Amino acid sequence: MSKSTKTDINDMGFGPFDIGPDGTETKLEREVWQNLDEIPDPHIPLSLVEMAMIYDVDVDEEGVAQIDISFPCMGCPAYEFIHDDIRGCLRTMSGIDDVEIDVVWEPVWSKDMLDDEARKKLRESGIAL
Amino acid sequence: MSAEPATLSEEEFKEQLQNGMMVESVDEMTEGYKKALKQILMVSADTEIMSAPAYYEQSLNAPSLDARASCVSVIQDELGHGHIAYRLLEDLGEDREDLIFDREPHEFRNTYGFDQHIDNFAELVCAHGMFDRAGITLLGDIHENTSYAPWKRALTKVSKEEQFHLRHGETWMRRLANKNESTRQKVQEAVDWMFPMALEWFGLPDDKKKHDDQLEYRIKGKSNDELRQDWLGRAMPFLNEIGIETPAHFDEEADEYVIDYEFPVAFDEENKEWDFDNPISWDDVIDRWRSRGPANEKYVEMIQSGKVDVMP
Repeated sequence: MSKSTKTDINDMGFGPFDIGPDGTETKLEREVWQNLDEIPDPHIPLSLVEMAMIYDVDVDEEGVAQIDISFPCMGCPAYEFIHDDIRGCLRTMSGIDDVEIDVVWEPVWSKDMLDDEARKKLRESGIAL
Repeated sequence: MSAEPATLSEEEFKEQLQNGMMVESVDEMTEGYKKALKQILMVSADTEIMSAPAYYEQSLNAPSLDARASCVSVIQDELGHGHIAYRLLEDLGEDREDLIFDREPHEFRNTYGFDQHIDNFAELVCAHGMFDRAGITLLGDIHENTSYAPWKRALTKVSKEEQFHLRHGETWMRRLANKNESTRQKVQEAVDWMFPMALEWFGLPDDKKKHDDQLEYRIKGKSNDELRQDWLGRAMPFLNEIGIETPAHFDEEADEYVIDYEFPVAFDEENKEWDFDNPISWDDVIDRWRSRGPANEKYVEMIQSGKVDVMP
């Protein structure tokens, strides 16, 4: 899959939206982004990062990872699974002691946040945009 | 295409398909291929659409809002999968409207499992976990091996969504099995009737099937027994892990899963109980399937009554 394995994390494109890594990340935060990019959306053949659902990552001095995420729809059928996957994935990382997930609705998720590669993968799997 | 199908005998066509030839459209098919493809697509389409009414009532009985959203999403997916398969049938000359709305209940070809009443939430999640697992096993094989290219492409989306249903089902089966004795018992009771039904789903054992057009035309890639073993190989470790008993075990010597009763056996539809001491023939099983199960009429009515005639 994955956005961050192919391109430098600084080049992750999310269009004109103030989401995603902005180049000021610590090494650990970059690793968190890369790990989040390995978590598949349970319903769609893209990672959570490719789906532009991860808005922000912050790891504080106590090793608490604060993840801001949003969902393409408010009644997401995989709401609980996605929370579980993020916690399960990040808790095994060295340097991360706890994970806090904040669901945010600003900016509102939009298809415009998907990059060309993500659009291509959706088309190939028969999902219209 | 190396030759027009009209000039090829069925045997020659089968040989080309076995050598990897893909079929893109109805113009490239022999009559035999078209017939075999229609038959399996009809079972697939009807099974997908009839899972929707089967799942409906208990989805509204889900124990949390998140669970309910997941269950309702499964129904929406299944209707979408049905739509895809009926659309493919339309390319083969069938009429989608007629197939869905103008057939009698007994004319539907869905798997017998979706002719059963699903009576509580434990049964619903066991259906997601075991029946959708059977669906994934069958469609996964087709996705990987089929010679019919439009179906192969369409199944990319279907397979991913079915994985979600399975995860939802197994997550809840595990939760209920671990919660308390009463919820564990509900899962066990559901597995007791659904497990043998899933085994039957894969059809006649290979040694009872004289020939299989769907394999010979490479519409699917694996035989009934291979698919049954695939299902067992994935369902059994999970069921063992959550402490649910099943009438099958892995035989080290034979290096395969073995069913612990004389398969197939009689089924008491009213009480949803298998009579393991009463073996029957596969002809009997097929007769039971053809006469459809107890919820068949109700489910078809649920689908067909949803039609609204819009004035032109």
